[in-house]
Amino acid sequence: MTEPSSERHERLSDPTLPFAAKLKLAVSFELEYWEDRQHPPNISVNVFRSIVQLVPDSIAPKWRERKSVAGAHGHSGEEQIFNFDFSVSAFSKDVRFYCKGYFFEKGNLKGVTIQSFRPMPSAAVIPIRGER
Amino acid sequence: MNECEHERRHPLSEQIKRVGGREFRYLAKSCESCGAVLWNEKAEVDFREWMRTNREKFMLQFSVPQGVSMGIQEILHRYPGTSDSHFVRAVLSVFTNHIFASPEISQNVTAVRESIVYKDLVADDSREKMKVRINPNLLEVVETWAALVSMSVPKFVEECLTQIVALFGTRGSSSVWRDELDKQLDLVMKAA
Repeated sequence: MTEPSSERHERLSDPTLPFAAKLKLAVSFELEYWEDRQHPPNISVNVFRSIVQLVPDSIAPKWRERKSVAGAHGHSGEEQIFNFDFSVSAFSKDVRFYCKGYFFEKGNLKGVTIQSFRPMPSAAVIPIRGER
Repeated sequence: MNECEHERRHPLSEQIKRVGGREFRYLAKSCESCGAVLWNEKAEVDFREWMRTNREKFMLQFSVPQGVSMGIQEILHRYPGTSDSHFVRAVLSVFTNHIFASPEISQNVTAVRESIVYKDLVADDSREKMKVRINPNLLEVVETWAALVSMSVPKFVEECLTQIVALFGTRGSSSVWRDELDKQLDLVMKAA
């Protein structure tokens, strides 16, 4: 997306914008993503872009103060970090995801840094014929 | 569980991203504590270019029961000028972007496994091999979903196709979720 910086900030800082919509919009503007973490592993950035579209509109994240200043926006990003989890249903399996990150830049919003995005331990599965 | 915030960084080093058995090499920073790699706009631009130049090389191979293969050909009559490759990609896209997004639609679609049509389809031992071209973006999404539901990629693809063919075969009274599913499949197929 090639919107001017001021327009991005205006849209991302709209107080009426629900969190899920803000997150999806920020991902479409500029995304900084930590992937390939091994313990526990983050899902790849490409798959994150797809699965983040499944975050329910009603999601309400938890917020806390950010410790890390790593990454291109570590010093200039918002001081509050969000985290939330949500689940989707795939072939009768409840797949739960955890997401943690922060928006940047403080006072001139234009994107989001995702520090964690990974599946969480899951619930019951109904087996499918021939399933591995 | 480790909640690393990636405070300790390594300088730029070569990283490898694997998609569909192929390797994309790029430079990125990584976290000294947990090994995470920082994906940024530069990596994104380079990766898109890599995908563009390699998109012809990614293939999906799987097999489906004969009845599913025949069902696909029947459904394709609705979309003149499209191929089974278009249909496979459309179905995978609809599952990963729409069906899994809605618990109601997902449960209703999966419930087709209890239908006689579905059971007849999977009881057929004769199988048809299929090989379709797929873009690396969708392939990586499919690989991840297959792992998340503990299936091999070919089995995941087969399951998606079998459920859709069974749904078309059990078409009954209209419902909101089924109309929505039809609409999504129509959209993706007509964009092909």
